[in-house]
Amino acid sequence: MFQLPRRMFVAAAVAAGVALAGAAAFAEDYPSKPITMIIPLGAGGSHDLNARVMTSVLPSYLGEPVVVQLMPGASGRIGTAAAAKSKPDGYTLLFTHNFIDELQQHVTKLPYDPNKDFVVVARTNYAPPSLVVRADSKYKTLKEMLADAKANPGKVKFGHSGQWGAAMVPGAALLQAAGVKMTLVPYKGGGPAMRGVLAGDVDFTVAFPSVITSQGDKVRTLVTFADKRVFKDVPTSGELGFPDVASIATMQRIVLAPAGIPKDRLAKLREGFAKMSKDKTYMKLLDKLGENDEFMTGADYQKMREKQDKSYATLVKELTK
Amino acid sequence: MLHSILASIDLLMRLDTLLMMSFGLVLGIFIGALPGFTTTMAMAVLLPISFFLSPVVGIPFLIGVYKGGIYGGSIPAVLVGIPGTGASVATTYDGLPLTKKGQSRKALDMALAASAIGDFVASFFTILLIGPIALIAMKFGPPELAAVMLLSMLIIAFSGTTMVIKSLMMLLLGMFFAMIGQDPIGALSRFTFGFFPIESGINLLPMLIGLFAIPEVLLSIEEKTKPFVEKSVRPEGDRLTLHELSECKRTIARSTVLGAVIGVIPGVGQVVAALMAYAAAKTASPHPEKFGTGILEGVAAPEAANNAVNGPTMVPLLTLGIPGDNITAILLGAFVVQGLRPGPQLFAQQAPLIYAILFSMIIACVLLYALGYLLIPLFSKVVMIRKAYLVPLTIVFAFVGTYVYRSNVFDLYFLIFFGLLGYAARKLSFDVTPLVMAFILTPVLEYSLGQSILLSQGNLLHYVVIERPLALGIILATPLLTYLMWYRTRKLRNPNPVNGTLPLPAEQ
Amino acid sequence: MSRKPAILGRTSIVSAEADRPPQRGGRINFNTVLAAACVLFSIFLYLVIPSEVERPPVLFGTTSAALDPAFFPRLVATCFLIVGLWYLRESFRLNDANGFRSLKRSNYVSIGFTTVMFIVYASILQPLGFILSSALVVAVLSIFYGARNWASIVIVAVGVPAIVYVVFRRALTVALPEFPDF
Repeated sequence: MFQLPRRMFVAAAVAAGVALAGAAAFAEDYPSKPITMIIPLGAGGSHDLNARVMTSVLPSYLGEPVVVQLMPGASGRIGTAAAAKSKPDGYTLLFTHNFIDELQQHVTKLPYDPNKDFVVVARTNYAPPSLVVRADSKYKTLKEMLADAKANPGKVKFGHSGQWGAAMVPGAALLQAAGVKMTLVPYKGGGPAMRGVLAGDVDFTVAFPSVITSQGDKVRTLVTFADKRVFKDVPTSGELGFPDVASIATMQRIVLAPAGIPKDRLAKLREGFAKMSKDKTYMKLLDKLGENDEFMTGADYQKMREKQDKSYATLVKELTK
Repeated sequence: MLHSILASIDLLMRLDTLLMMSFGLVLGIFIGALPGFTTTMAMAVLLPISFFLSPVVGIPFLIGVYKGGIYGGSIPAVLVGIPGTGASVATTYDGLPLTKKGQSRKALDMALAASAIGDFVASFFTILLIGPIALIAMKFGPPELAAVMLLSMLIIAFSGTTMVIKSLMMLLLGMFFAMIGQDPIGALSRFTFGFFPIESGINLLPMLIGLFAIPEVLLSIEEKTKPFVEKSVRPEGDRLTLHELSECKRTIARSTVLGAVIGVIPGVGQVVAALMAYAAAKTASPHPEKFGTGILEGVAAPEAANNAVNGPTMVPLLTLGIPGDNITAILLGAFVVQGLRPGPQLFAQQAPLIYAILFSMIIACVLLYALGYLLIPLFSKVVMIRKAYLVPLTIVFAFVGTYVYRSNVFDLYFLIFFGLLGYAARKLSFDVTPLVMAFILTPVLEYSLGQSILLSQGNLLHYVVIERPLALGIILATPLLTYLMWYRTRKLRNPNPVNGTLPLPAEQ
Repeated sequence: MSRKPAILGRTSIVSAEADRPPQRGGRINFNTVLAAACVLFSIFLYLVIPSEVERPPVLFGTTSAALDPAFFPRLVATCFLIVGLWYLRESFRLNDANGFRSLKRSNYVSIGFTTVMFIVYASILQPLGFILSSALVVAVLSIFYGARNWASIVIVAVGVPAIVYVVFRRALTVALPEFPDF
């Protein structure tokens, strides 16, 4: 009577053992198992969308699937900390942006050091923000708005997407450069901030190209924070007399890896991303998202990164004086 | 406009659209039935599939996943007391007792019927009234939202099954838990005691699964030898009869309206809709004390409401291109990748497509009912698993569900903590619903209050009274509504209260 | 239990309608303990708020947060105090059943063991990987609750987590802790 169950037991045990052994990655080639990409932001945002596009194309260049792991929280610090603590074996990456990467350390105490704990794999693209008002707003140019703000400190209302977020930093940088005082009203994300503008609760917000185009003629764009014009008839911040704002206001989407990653694996990653950036499907999908595909290699961005660190240190210090 | 509508129906009635929608629904139901796997995550994961489909096929696919997911959460809620999604919490109140009484099939059927009906009716009216809904949604700014939050919390606290004082205590405890972590406005740390894992606050999912599922597990193992379901022959029971369904028609109607109204207000959500509908059903019922012991109305109310939210929630997305929550944010992504930018422009230029998508919402409800009907016999077999296996597997699913949300091991410890807290609450006759409501609503309340103060530039009173009549109206109505709800549920509260979900073992 | 019709003036919000005299009135019961804890908690909050609540940064010369992050905590602490004191007063009139009193020793053992397993599970999940730790937990608990067929135990304990792992990780591309690093 005990023969049958015992045999089954043995069979099951052997099967389990084989499964366990087989799954342990002892191939020498990298990558030989799926790579995890941590995103320190929530689902559905533009970062998430960019990531989904990447992960549907990247595997054909790296040879293994890339699994997205969302870890939102604490303005990006939770996900970043998790990536910093992960094993630097090339199987964990961090997809973040510059406002989290080089700004958070000036705002609060961090359990990691962005510069020491991470190396840059690639900058996948950048996103140039623009300042928009409602189409029927009384401000037809940026100059008018700044003049009003100067004359009435605190009267103009700026709706942004969150403290030290992608909308607040460009706006705050502009306000600081122009030397005016406004009321900053936080919203939970770009969408609600735009809604605030459309409802007339706030005077303006800062948004990105795809959102702005979707609003059609319901909004008017006053200025773009970039080196080149994004919209034909909208001046850049440089043209309007604020040459230094663009470099800190532009959002750079970057892929980081924990420092200590073996050099050959880092090279392979960088190569894979570079090839992906030239892939036709990738470019097509990004274009549909309204994003550009200005790729920058990790090595090049590293220099930019150091500059950003200093710029943000100054910005935060000035703003919180 | 009639031309657009006709053109849209033509677009929609394609086999591949219907097939993909059905596929999406089935996927959604299965994923929603996996505890912890939120509908948002499911949609985010399945989003890339829609990239390679044409918009009239891909977007209904995602909508199918969405609706399937919201319904799917009710399945584990009924069968094992684990809310598959936040929206199914209230479904556990009567769903699980029904299962224990050997009526799990009826409960699942009712959840399906209520979900499909609620969703259908709400989507229908959304299409008819899309313009006015968009306008009303626009009027709900921070002050209005803050007022609604306060009203909701008070109603739940004053209309519960336990004494008001105990409900208030749970409410305050929930508020405290909500404040741990970062403050919603400035992202400043509060009550973290230097402990980094708490820095982003406590997560909702570990709390929900902990407060609702774990006590059930612990209670069922108190008596190791007692079987999970009282009946051993055909433990899943009979199917729902039409008569039983029609008895609940007033509940379903009321819950649908509630859910739809809450859906119009941006930022409130399905969880609140389900809990409020449950409270309203209790209040309006001639036998409120039966709620929680396993009656079908207790399942119909939250399920109709949480699905009714789906329709109106799409309105800001489709008319303004602004997503109201995470799920619609993902749908926005799906649109955008197709080269479509929802918003006023798209509505003007491609009306047939937009109407096609709206109609797909309605068709999805019908398909949902059909598919659910076919799948329920499969799911209901779960109760046939031996308790010795069912309980440990439930634990595994509870833990997995908690973990996959953020891959944070500390969420598991929170799960255990809330599990023990929920267990103690059961034993000491505390109702944890106000705790959950407060936990969800307090951040929104605080945030909206802060925004309102900034918008008013210092003169909050003046601002609200003069410039925000809607908010003023809600604030003035609050004391009246609270009193009304309290008065009508006073029969429930007596010196020896019976807790919402299980009768106390013992003397009384 | 007969219910007297409620007359508004006589109704107390705290302990509702049925105005019967309490059978065992005036005793200190678990409600009293909880109410006292409530009061103590509010004092704890007051003490802890200054050190645990960060101050908002100063932006453009004024504080950036219109609503002080300490406002709600203080409000909640105050409410805890009021509610706690009120509850304390009312608790003497209550005679709720204390669910814990009816637990037998064997119940405590079951609950205790399961709770310990919870904690074990949470702590071994990452180091040992999902499949292994789930298998262990399921096996142990199944045996504890009475399963005796070894074959079924192994199949369920290993099989279900394995299926879940495959579905989640490969089909749904969601991360679960993988196999232990040898």
